[in-house]
Amino acid sequence: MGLAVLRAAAITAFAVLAGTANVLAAETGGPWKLGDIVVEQAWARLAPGGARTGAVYLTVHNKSGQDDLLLAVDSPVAESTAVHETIVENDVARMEPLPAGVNLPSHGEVVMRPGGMHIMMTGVSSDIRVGSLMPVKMVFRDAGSLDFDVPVVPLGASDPAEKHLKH
Amino acid sequence: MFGRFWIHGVAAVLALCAGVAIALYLETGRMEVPAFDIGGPFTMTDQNGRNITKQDLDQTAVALFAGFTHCPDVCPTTLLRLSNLLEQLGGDAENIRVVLVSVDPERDTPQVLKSYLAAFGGDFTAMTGTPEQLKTFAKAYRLFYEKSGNGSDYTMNHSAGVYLFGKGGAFQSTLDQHETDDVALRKLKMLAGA
Ligand SMILES: [Cu+2]
Repeated sequence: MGLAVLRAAAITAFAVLAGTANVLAAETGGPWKLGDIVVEQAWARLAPGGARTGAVYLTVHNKSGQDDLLLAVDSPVAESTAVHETIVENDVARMEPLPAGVNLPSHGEVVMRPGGMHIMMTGVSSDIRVGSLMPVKMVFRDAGSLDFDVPVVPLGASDPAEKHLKH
Repeated sequence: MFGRFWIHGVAAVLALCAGVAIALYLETGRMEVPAFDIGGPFTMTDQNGRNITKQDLDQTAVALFAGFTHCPDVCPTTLLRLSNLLEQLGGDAENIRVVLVSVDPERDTPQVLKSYLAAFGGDFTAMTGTPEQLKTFAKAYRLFYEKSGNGSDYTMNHSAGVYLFGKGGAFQSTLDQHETDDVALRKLKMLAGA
């Protein structure tokens, strides 16, 4: 049995157990490496019911001495996939795509977390649910492209990357 | 739909009211109710398909915010934050009713709202209505919303703050996402005790 299967099984078991708890813990996926690019602390959530919209959160490190650019994101299980930023202006929240890509400064990182930058998906296949692994592709200008599978955590789960940030 | 300038003005007045109320509280130790009035008669439908009116809301203190279930980012974040804050508040939390007002009546039926709330585990209320009912509600409660995008993939832009109303319906203050948990908890504690 592969690691990905084991992880999916663990997440599913967790999701079943988690139904009643108010504050939930969940595991993040990664790290995945592509040259000097490292993607880690990745997780996804789906809007419930028939919505089929979702968001992926993660951290991208650029450990090289050169800036890179995240040109595009994609997923075979979604009709559309794009990097979005949630902007709150004059007490109104809206989401905007970032068509020019996302700059990855040398020796820097880009953090996608709830309420800010996220990978927005619409028309997500109904095969993807809590406990599934969401396939994601990132295309970088210099580093090339990286494919990885992100765990889908329960909608009511607290940001599973938070515990890594609060040292 | 309302004009943007009007709504920016309202947001500014809201923020000012909240600021004045908190400043008064910190200085005098009690919460002054701002003269600025928010709220008015409405009829909406809750997640169980029952009518809900201002009289129902006024029974308890209320933390109210706008959202929609197709929103994967900011709406779950707001609901989770409220849920975590109320857990920290302990027993007082029972006095506060969390209300999600859907600004997407086209897609958010009571059943959809019910399954949405179930994912969060807490004892929350969600309401929806006809486009006219929502318009009336939003006008009375100074909520802004507008559709963004076309086809089935549209999203909604909407008021981001959480509005706090005391038992009886008087507007008290707002929570915003930039303040610390300590400040938010102090506001909620006041709200629960009022
Ligand atoms: Cu988005």
